[in-house]
Amino acid sequence: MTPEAAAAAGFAAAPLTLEEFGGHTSAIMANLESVIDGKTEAATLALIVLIAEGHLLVEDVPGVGKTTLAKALATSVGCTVSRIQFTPDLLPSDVTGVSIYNQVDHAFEFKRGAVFANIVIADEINRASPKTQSALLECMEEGQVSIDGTTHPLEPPFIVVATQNPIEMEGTYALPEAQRDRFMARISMGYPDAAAELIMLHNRESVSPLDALRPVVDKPQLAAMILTARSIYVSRAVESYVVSIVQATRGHPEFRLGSSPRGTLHLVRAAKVLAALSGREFVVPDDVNQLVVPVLAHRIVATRRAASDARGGGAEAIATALRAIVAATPVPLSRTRTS
Amino acid sequence: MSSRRSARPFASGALPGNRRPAPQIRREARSGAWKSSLAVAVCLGAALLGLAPVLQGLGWWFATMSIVLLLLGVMTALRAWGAPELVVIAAGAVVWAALVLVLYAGDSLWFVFPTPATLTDLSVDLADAGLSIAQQEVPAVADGPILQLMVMAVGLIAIVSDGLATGLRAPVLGGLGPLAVLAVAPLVRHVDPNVPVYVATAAAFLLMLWCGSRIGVDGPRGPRLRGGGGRNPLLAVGMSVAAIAAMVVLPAITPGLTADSLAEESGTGRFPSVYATGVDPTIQLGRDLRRSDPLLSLTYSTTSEEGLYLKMVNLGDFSTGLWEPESPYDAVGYDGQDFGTPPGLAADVPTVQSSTSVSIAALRSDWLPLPYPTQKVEQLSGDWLLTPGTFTVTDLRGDTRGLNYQVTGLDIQPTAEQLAAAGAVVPDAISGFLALPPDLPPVIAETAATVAGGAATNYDQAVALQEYFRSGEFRYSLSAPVSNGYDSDNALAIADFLAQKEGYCVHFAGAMAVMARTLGIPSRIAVGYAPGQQADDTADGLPVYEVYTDQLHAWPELYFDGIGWLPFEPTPGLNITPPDYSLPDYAQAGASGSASTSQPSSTSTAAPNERPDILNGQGAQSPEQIALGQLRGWGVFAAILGAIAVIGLAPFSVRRMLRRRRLRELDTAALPGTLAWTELEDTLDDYRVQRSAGDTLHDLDRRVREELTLPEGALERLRLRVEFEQYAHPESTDAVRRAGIRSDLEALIRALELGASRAERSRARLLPFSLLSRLRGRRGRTTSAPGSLVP
Repeated sequence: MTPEAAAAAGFAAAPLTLEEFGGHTSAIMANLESVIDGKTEAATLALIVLIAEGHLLVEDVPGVGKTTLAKALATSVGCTVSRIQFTPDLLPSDVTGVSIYNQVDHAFEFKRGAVFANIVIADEINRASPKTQSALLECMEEGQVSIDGTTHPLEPPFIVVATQNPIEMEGTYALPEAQRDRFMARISMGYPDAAAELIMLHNRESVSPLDALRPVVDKPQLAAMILTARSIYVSRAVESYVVSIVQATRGHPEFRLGSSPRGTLHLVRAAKVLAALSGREFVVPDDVNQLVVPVLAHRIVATRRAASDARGGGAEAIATALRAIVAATPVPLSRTRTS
Repeated sequence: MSSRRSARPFASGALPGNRRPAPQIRREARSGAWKSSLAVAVCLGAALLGLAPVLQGLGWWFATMSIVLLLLGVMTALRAWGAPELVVIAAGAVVWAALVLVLYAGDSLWFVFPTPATLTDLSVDLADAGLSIAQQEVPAVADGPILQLMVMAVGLIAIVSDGLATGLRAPVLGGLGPLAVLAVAPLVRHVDPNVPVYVATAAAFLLMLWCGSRIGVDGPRGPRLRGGGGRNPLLAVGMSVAAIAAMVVLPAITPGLTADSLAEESGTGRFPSVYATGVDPTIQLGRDLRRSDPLLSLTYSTTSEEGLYLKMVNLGDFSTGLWEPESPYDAVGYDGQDFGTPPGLAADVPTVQSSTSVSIAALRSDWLPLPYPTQKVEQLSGDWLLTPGTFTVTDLRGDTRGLNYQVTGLDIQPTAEQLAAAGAVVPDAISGFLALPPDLPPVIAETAATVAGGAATNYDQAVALQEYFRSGEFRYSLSAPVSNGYDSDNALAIADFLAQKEGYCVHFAGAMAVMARTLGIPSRIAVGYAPGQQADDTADGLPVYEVYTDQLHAWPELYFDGIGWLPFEPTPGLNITPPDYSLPDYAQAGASGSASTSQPSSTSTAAPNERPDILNGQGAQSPEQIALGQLRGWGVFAAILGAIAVIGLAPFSVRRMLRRRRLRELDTAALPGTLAWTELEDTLDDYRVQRSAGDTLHDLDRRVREELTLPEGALERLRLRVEFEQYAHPESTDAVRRAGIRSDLEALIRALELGASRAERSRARLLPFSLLSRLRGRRGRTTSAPGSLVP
């Protein structure tokens, strides 16, 4: 989303102070944690993606709370939410909308699809056919829907939270690289530990915690938070640090395909939010460091050898290699004032 | 956070909360240290063997090694007991110092502390060692002074090497000691590399490295992780520096023993040398005579009734005031031909032909030892040059060892009448042997006139001169000091000699030859071997004579027209029987016409074979010279200690200077936080806290706090300050906040220092690893995962 679009959408003009920002984010985090126990890291990443105006891909085995997280996030920020359950027979028009001939007006009338919402939960996205999957492409990147020559802008903020099962599961169509690249981050929920699972069992005995969830941030506040995160300063040193990490993924012997330049942009945007979350007006290398794996891993294609080796296969091998790259990239520290 | 468990920062187990007694901890950390010490001893022993070509026998090796083992044994015992490393090294040094006192100043043992007298003894002994080394040819005899110097030096090297290899766990540096020992032999003499010794030393050095790296590994605390492994450029640089220092220092403490100094003497290139090492024959002669343990130079058997002088070279040219040999310009290749008639020999002089078979043992010379006058040399292998005028045979390649040859010579037996009749006429060809330098001290001619002025003929004058030297007025002494040119035959030295009335063959021969020239008798000095002793065995029924290095001799030859060159023997005290014709009775008998009745008579005027011990030779030096020598000895000693101290303390002072400069600049630097962080990083490096280039400030902060107890908040404040300086918007750094940076940094450094054991602290100060990593420019890389997302 461009700043012009944001202004057109009537976003609150003034960014927040970092204190206000922190207040809002901790309220959202509290909400998220009330429904998902012991998954602070996943929740934080989801929040980062929301504020960084990215899209989130949640990948894990069924039943670990992917959808719950997505719904909790949507509910917390008081935006319009829609949910599409992707199935093999889902049609692109189900996602984007369809023009229907109105016999009263003798004109075609555009019936908006499920994508017209602030937060779109695309559940089990890899179960739909590639044709349907790609219908989301324009929406995700351009923030608009074009049907029958008419362009329908989507209302900001717009975030797609897609969940998917691992590609090894039955009845799945793997997301193509191009589509994966549009997601800012991929997170993995993982199983809860024993204690968290016990608490979960206890909390959900009578009622789903999702029902009790109330919005803690309204839409203008979210817009202000987004503006705040944008104003975070990124120094030249950190920029070059990001670039050297991304460049290293492209020459890495275990990778068939490195990170795209979009990955670079996403990494910096996410790092800005993390800096704001930490109450800092500027990005430090640690912010970048911590986001490298969630932001870059799903864009990278490992070589066959790396994908099939004993270290847990593709995803784990890529994460390990990325950590090694981070560990080997010197942290910029200029001993003299240069800028 | 899945970062690998990094190495423990402090090797000696002084982490907070460790309540076990320090000696026990040290004992455990040092399990296996004795192996490292043993490896040091083995390495030193192997390196010492490299000195075998320079020193005779192997007694010195056992003596030195027993001291090394004693010292290392003391240190090992203390380590096993759990003493701190500093105490161990200090104890080694104390034992060493005590040994030095015992060896060098046994008399003053009952004074616990060295007295001025002890120091004087010490310096005298050191000077003795220097003199002994300077005076001996290699292979030298490991006599008292040399042995003491060696024991002292190698003992010190053992302590230092063991302290480095075992104590400080730096076996690579510890290898410098054996390396220095190994460097001595090539420095002293251009010996061929002794490959087995080198290989043995290298193997022992590898053993040292291995044992050094295994210290503490077998202990109950399991594997000991260490930071800072791998390649180490600073160590390499340090080793090179130390090796160069050894090259510089060693020649300084072994004066006169180096190949360089020998080369320097030969560099003057005055003449082909008697010895292949290229030393002035007379100096060489002095040195060989001083050998306390002479070597067998050659043996010969002869048909002659008495032992023969075997001449190698003539010194006939005195026109410059220095006795120099005639250059063999007119030399011709020698191929077994006749030498011809000796110059000046008339046909009527009775001669007896003699046959001599010479077998050379240890002598290395350009010149062939031959009896004068030789007629023919047979069975001689190699290429040789004959100088017809002087009857000398030369081989410029200079190695006579192992030669066997057969000489046919003449034994000239002039009658007293013939001698008396020999005219004062000097043929033109011989007139060069009368040349004298214009600045000859007049005392020589005056003495000659006084002694021989009353004699009528040249022959009588010659006999009078010889009688003058052998009369008992003169004393044979080898202690003529080398340093002030007395070991020489130049005109001034001769005048000195006439006043001192003390010297050895060079002085006697030189003096008599010069005095003969002042009287108009042509003369030259012959350098060669005195007849030697008759051995017990015989060869082909002939007596065998053995000639030793200390029988290298110089004697004058005087020319009488009609008879030729005749040797004289003015040197007393050598138990050499002078030729019959040179004795006064012979002359008188000749005057009375009964030459045939003369009897050889022993006229030794001094005790036979009186060889003053070189250690007592210092008596000839004046007190000023002794004081000067002491001063010089101490100066060298102090300079060596100073150089070692400077080299050893250089890292410490550089690091200290760096820290001071940074602390000073904290007030003015544009990025004070970053400067303080740099200093903190360096201090962490000094204490071997592992970190990597991929570490962000936060990673380092977290890791350090995990492992060390640091003042609350200081590290975090400093880190935030650095992050602000480094990554915040330049506009937002409105005011540089310096307050607190200095106190935080100082608190952190103090905490690091207090958290380390004393040994670790000393090591960090003396051998700061940060200099190394700064030199290297980059740090070792380790994998570390990005930290947790939770802010």
